[in-house]
Amino acid sequence: MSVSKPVILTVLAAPALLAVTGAGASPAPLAPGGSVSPIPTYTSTGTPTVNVLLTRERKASPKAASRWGSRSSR
Amino acid sequence: MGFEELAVNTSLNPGGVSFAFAITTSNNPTSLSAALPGYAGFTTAVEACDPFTTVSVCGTTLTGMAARSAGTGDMLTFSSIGTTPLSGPVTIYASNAYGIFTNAPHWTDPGVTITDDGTSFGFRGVGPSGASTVPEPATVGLLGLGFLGTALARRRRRG
Repeated sequence: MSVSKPVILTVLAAPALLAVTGAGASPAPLAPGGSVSPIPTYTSTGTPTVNVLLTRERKASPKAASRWGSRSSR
Repeated sequence: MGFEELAVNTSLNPGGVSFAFAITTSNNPTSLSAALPGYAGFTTAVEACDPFTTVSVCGTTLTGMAARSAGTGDMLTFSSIGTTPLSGPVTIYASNAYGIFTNAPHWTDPGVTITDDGTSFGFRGVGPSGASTVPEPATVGLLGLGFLGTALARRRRRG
């Protein structure tokens, strides 16, 4: 049985493509109407590169929360 | 009540901006949840304990549940979030850091609501923005396989 060159190339290329698509290693997408429980935890051992674009840090009291609520209800 | 949210580019999600948030409370909450809007039209995935910052806490196995609203999928709701007591002059309770992976090219600042034992707190957070033009890596892979198949079919026809 002879196996053509294109077939061999396809078989060889598939794992390489899968490796590329898995490079992000992010968890499975959460579709509209969907849910996940428990939320999976990061399990990779490598240290990812992280470039922080913006940080928001806030503290609030219930009083501040009510002010926010009235503002957002307009 | 404290709320910290980040927008990051990370090698864990090279296809778009990712977001991370963590909550701190002064009480030991029996019910803690977060509602984050603005995810309509974006590919979205969630994970706990992502190493996005050096101050990330990952002390509880109670990672909770994440749900995405139906329709456009605009709202992400995290519920049953567990916390870890952090001792100091005053004990505070910290959630794990949660990561939200999107294919968004930019970020904006939607209002986020945190509910702690029935009391709601509003924050200006960070959320995805812009046209999601960056294809998912898996989509690129499938596209590549499609092109490969087409090329092989053409070659076979010629042969």
